Amino acid sequence: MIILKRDQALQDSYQEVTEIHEIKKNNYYLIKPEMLSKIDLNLLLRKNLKIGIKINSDFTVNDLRGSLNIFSLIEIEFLTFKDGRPFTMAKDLRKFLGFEGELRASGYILPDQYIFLIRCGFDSVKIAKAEEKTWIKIYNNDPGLKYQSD
Amino acid sequence: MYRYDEFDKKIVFERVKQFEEQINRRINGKLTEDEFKPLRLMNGLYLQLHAYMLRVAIPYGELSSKQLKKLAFIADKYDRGYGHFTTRQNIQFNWPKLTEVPQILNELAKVEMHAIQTSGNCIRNVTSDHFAGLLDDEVEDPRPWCEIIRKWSTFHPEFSFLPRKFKIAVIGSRQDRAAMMVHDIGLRIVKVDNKLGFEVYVGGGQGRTPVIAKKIRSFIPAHNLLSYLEAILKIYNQLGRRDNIYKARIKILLNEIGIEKFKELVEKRFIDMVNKSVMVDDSEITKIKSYFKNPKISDVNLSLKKNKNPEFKNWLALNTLKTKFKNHSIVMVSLKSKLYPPGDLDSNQMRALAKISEKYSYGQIRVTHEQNLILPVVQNYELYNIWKQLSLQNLATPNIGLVTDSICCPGMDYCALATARSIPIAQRINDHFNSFKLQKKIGKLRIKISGCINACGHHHVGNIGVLGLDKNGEESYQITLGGSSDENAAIGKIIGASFSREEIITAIEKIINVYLLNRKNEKQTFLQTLKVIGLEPFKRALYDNS
Repeated sequence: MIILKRDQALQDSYQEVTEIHEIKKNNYYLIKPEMLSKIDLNLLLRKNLKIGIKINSDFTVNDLRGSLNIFSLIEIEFLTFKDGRPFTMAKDLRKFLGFEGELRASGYILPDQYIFLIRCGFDSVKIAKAEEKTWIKIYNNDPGLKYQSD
Repeated sequence: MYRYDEFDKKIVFERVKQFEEQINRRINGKLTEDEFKPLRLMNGLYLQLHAYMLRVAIPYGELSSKQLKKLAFIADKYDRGYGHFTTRQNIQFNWPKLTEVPQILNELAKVEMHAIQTSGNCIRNVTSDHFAGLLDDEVEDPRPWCEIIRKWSTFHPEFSFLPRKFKIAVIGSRQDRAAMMVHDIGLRIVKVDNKLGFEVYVGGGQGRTPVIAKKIRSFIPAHNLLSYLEAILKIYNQLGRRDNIYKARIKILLNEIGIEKFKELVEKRFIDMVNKSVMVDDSEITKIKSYFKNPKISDVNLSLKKNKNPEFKNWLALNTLKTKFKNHSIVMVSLKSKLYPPGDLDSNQMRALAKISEKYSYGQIRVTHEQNLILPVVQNYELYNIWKQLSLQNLATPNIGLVTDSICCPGMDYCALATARSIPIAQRINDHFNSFKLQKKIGKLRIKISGCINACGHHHVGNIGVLGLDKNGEESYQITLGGSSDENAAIGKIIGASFSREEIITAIEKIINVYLLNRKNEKQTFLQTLKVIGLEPFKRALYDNS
């Protein structure tokens, strides 16, 4: 998998962890919501760690309201490309909850959704390396025409 | 009528290029059919029983003569010489080839037309009163507001993958001629303390769970309209069900959480969004309204000469209506002649009607949700000439609002979802009640026919509704009585066991006979009579063999 930011392909810096003991120092970690109650996030921040959280379409983003400043990344996993809830989740995080970190889309998404993702506030997508060209082509071919102000 | 600006034109052409790419990826196997489906639906392309079907948008029903000629060209070059007008002011072509669809879309784009918002789980083509701007019963012409909503909702990044399709209708009068109450959102323009705004109704719909919309707000100021719509859509996008396609419409969400709770959520959202979301500013409203300028109405002060032709007189009485413009009328062009399926228009008729509109109605045509067309503004003294020319094209059937003016979905003749045929039922009704004298005697009566429970033929809101079912491999037809889609909208009630294909016309005749026998006078409508006598006399006539 690669991370695509606009038309730039990057390696994923974040390490997905499921247990607290996997979190060490000076690194990027992606935790799951169920770990929130078990760890002291402020303590991790003081250790100079970059903490991201991976949620999916079923998650209620308002539940992160009190701890948003802790996260440098929120990854939203699409359960299926047909489920458009993450578009509203992203808009809410940006517009109403004021999240300023990186917003990433992952899971089952189509390259044809790329522009909508960006317009809703996503910064990056996690995709298969083999799809990179198609995504970049769609990004570069987008004429930027839209009726709505984002 | 509305004219596209350069930006609108660019968007439509870009869309064609984008879809061409998507088709190539499908053909090259880079997209599965499951992945391609929502993308083709965003371009109005369905896969039907026998072929693809392309549904072209006619936003709020406005069509120019140039556009109608283009539709004729497409019908001839890419289809089988005809098109079918739907119950949501669209037109469908039933036989396009997948590889030719980009060419068709390109042809459409040349005349400011497209297939955007005609299918898929997005905000669909906004519909309106086909008499918008023509009568003096309006607070304001709803078309500019439809256009404001059209722009806002077109390829909305947040609302293009909703739980299900989402339909909005806008009207400007007390009288509802757009079936607003069976839309996901119905908007009625109102003025309170001289301020312009909207009454907002939500959660109406037909399909397998028919529901009349509920009022969620008595007044939303016009400037806040889009913010309020966004608040509703956000709640729906988040909470609408996605586990069951048949329970995914907003009406089901409302039913599950209740209108009060839904309203509370929407209002909270709306307050959160104030100043952070879309406001409609005055300059935008003024600009869009200026694009809807009425044609320069002729001031020739001639009246229609007296004419004794009885056929013309019948047509004049039923198919024309006075407009608010002096010496001008609306002409309703019936697409319910005996010769064609309801809503069908062939390419020769399209070209002829385009010419007639150029000569008599400033090149304007409109599409009604009842699958007819109208010439919106014609001079009264020309009515006889118009009638003669429409008659030559079989477009002057004097039956608007009568028993043969039925709404009918394509049914099993075309549709993959249908459980029975509906077009032959409409045609047999037309044959059976063809006598003008009989139709006139019966008076205004709405028969609506659907070929399956999805209710594209609006049977739930027909005075007499006919629903085609599959009963052990045989087509059978269930009847509902008492439905209405106007300002007193109501869902019809099932009268009893269904009827076979052979029995259905006799059953309808019996229902009509009960009405004729029981009405107090000719002015008492079918619905008024039903209210007085109830369902029992109809049931007895249909089922009591003793």
